[in-house]
Amino acid sequence: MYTQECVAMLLAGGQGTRLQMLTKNVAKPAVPFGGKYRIVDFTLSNCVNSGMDAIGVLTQYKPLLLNAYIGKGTAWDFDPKKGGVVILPPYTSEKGGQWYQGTADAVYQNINFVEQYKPPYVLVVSGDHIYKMDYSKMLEYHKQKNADVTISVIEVPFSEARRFGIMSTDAADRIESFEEKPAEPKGNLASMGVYIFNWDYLRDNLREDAKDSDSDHDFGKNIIPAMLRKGASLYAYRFRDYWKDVGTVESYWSASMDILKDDPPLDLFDADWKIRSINPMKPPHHVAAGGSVRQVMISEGCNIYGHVSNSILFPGVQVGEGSVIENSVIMMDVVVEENCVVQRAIIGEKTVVGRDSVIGSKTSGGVTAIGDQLTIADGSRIGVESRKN
Amino acid sequence: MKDVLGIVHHLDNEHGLADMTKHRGVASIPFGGKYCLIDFVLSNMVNANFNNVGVMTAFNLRSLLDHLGIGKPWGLDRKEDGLFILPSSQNDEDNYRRVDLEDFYVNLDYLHISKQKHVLISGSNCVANIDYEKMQRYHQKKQADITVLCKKDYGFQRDPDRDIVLEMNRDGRVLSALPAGAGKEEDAVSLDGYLMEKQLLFKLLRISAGTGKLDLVTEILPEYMSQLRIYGYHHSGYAGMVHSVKDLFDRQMDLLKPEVRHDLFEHEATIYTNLKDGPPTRYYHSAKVVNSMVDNGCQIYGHVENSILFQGVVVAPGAVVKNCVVTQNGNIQEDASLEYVIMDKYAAVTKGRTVSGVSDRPLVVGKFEVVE
Repeated sequence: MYTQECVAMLLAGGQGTRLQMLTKNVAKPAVPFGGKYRIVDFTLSNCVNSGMDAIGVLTQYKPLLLNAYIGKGTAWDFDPKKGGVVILPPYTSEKGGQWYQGTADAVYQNINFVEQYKPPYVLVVSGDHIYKMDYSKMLEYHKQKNADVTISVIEVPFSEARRFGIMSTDAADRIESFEEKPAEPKGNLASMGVYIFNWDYLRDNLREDAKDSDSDHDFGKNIIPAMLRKGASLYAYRFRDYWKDVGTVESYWSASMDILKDDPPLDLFDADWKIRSINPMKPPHHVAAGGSVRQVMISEGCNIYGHVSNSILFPGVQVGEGSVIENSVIMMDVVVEENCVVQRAIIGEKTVVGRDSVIGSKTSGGVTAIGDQLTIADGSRIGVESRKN
Repeated sequence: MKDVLGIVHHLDNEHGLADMTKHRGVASIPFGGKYCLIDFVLSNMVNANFNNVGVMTAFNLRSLLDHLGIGKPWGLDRKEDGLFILPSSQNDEDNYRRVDLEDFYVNLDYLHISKQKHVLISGSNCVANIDYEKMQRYHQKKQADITVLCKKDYGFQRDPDRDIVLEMNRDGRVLSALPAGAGKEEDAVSLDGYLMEKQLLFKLLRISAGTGKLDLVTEILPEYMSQLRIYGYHHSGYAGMVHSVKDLFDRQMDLLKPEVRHDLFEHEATIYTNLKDGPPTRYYHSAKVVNSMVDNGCQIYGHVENSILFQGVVVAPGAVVKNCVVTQNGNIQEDASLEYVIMDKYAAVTKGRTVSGVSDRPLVVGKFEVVE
């Protein structure tokens, strides 16, 4: 087996319950985003583009699609000779087994996987976030600071700070305190869920934590605070580019609308930092003579007879004659039949919207989300009246 | 159909395709917004469960090898059987043989080692989604020695020299096979696919060696028309042969009709190709798109009408692209105007330039060419 300088452990077990219908059938990392990707594509592509060749993917919640999707990782060009992708679901040993009890427990249960590469460093990342980041630069920083742990941080609006792990640092960016999801945040420097650890140090701490029956076995709640208490050297690595944690249906929708802007905060056309994905074998899309497309992103296999503006269409979407789609995200293989109006909506995979239906409303202020594989009867009206939350 | 060996024979000297074959053979000519011509025959073969496919190739093979790789997109990256590249016998550009038996001699070992009982020999310049399993059932029903794939109601212009037409009796037995120029209008057009037992191919190869006749279609078959039971199997779906720039243009324009796209791409028999990563295509506020087929990774600010755009094409603000085929990474700059043009890969038309062909003679802008 090859030795790796840094092994990546990708936490892909997130339920993302607040995403409601988007995570009804799949884990959060498997949620489609950006017209042809799944959220986990961003982290996987970051790993490959950063030169990380050995990666363990920790899955738990509704793993079927994710396991099949990631497979051996060939779609992202991981080099299988140097390790490639290994899916690490919970398992049983002669001492019994159980679900991963927390993010730290997931890595603890797979110490043997990491050990086989004898790495000096381990990168722990979440598969829940949308961003482009060169982890090799963060590793350089980690080495330069001679740190035990480096945590990637981003400034978030104060109003949102309580959703994140919030830390404070000294002038040299050494971390002085860390609070996971504080009720009253003292700062706005949020953890992005991207950690680099010296492996020997992390392994010892994981073993210690595993013995503690009061622990939630979580990196943010237990491991990082314990290391701070011991006086370990933890550094914050400041990240200033686009980073998005799409926690809710509304934030998913607005992140989607962001990439439709003329100068998008997240450039998917960047040839130097390609976001790789599994490409469906479908012909190019077709825009018919009576159709129109303005300020949209469209993938392969779509057939557009209607009018689509400021929207994202995933592969295989069919838009019937006379239909209007505005400010919406339409997932794989959705059929919108003739003379429908779809506004400020998210429509899940393979759903069929019967003719003359009206989905969502321009004026309600909310976003109308429709689930996967549904059949919406002709002439339906969904989310048209303003909603009372 | 695990007992059929697929052989894609090579055709490098289609002079009618002009600059499109300057950097490549016919097999890897870009087609239909994301495919290469050879994708049709390869996909038809794997859709009929062929496990063993040999692709004959001569000069200009870099582009084809790049496209084929180890055959992964077609599921031909296998331990046993799979995709084989069979080098051609000669580099003589002026030698136009429809099925060159010399190429089979030099690859005789491969033919002997392969375990399949039958062989399907096909060219790569036929655009069609064909069910070879049906063709084999027909072959068995007719107890044919050779079954030739053909189209009876061929609606497109026939190339008098390059297309072969079949005269058949009512039963479907082939009475003559001639270049279209010497045949009759009602004759079926050969789609360049031949199914037979491998033993018969060996026999024909021995005859060829004895007589020095090297073209299976025009030299060997006519002589054995009465001795062998040769049948024509009619493909009822869409099918077009590509011999010239005009064919290449017209057959792609056919894809703008929903029924043709449906016949070729939108059913369970998928046409596979070597896919490249690319983001979804972006249409900006100023974009106007009418009846066009566009692959991923394009950025459209201008006006695109009755056209086919491959991956990574940029149509800048004010540019107009009408009745064109723009292959990978075509760059059409501000206020440029194109009509009846096929742009090869990485070509560019600079700001304000006009490039136009006519519908009968589409203009080819060569690979890497920059129109200034």
